[in-house]
Amino acid sequence: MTNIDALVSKDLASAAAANRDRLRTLDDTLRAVAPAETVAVPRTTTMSDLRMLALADVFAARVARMAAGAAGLVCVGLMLGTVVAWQFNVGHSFHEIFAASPIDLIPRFAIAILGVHILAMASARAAFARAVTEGAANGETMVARLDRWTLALSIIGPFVCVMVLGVALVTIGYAPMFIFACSLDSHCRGVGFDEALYDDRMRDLAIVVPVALLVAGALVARARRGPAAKTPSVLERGRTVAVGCVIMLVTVVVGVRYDDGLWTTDDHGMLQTARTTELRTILTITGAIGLLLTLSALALWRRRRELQRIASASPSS
Amino acid sequence: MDARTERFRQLLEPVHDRVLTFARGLCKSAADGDDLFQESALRAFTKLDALREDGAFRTWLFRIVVSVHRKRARRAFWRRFLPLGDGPDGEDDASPASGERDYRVSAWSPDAGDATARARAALATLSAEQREAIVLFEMEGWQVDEIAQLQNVTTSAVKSRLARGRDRLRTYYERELGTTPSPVLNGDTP
Repeated sequence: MTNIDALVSKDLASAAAANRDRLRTLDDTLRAVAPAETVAVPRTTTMSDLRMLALADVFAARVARMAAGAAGLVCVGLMLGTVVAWQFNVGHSFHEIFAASPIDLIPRFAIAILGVHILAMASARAAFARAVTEGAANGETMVARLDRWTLALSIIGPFVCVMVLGVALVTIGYAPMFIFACSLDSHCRGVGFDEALYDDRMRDLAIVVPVALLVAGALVARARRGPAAKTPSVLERGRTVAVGCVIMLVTVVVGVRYDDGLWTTDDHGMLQTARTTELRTILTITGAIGLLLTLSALALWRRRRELQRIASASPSS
Repeated sequence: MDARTERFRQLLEPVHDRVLTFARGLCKSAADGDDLFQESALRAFTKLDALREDGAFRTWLFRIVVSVHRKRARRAFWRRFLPLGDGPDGEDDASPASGERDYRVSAWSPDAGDATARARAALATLSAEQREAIVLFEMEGWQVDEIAQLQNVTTSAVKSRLARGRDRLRTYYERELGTTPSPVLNGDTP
């Protein structure tokens, strides 16, 4: 051991001995610790804090659902916009992203919507905390203000996504989306392009989407009337979800078994895109009914759970 | 005294002095060590309900001290870049005119506290992990495997920290002394 090492060891030993000098007593430690706890416990468990926590959670969840629904609509809008732009020989660079085959688009849309959901939830939490802390807004008002749009977008967003992708899927299968707006059967038979597009592709969507918008609007108006409204209270049951799922399942099974135009290929292996038949229109309508029932029931059930959570954290409860 | 405080007292009593000594060893002064221990005790008391087995209290409390100590070290690191005019944590009394405590050997007073002051100044140059290892091994008499368990690393890592820490202490002493200390300083007769 060198001189330096010996000096270090000696100094460390000296410091260790000094550290043991004049130690504070256990009672001193407890006196300093215990009072802080007795003050802190009641403050963190007050009812108003729990209510604020519930409001923050509900606000963040509503913003996230609203943003995800809007993101779904934007994705579909971009996809259709890209398809239309392709017809006019513009926007080809976006084609790979927004107008790949419907099968490719499903995971892309899912990732985009999930990402928006997560980001919106994190941002909403921060915004709520900031607004409440600064006294810029009332927490209850912030939550109530979102009620209508959350309900509407959480029904319409997924509905439009599923219906448009579903119709594209059964119409063109694994072909790129630009096939959606070309190689139309009716057009080949001399029908004008716009009319052919409507007959072969858009007719079913043109029927179900506006109807779904109206139904969702009516549902939101009913739900805003409060607990006395009968329709929402009937719809928000688990039985409604089961019925909706069964309808969708039957639709898919019948479509796969009886729709001749579904993903058939010709002798060269090319996809045949048959024009919309009456059967396909009926299946689209029944599928839309099942989907609308399911989404409405889920949205209303979630809303009821949120209202119950806020009520259970209220001082009067 | 309520049941919770009583439980905390019973658990803390056998290890109180050892944990306090360890906290003092990690800091540049006894006052800082008391402060570190106080913050750790408060955190332990607050989270006492999370402790399932009373037998694990000793290790649990030491881990809390280590956690609080590292948090303070990080804070002190970033504070150096803020123009607040304060030194790192614990630089309170006996500060020179520049506002920073003078840890150079030339500033050591010739009285009996020299050795302790030298050791604390040298320990302050180590990283938090190395300091914990050195204090536990050299000053508190812990075994390497015990330190490894506390720091949640392998025994090899602890040995490495001890060796590197010892090297840095040696380097510090050599740099501050300017040369190898004389046998007189070492306590040996010429």
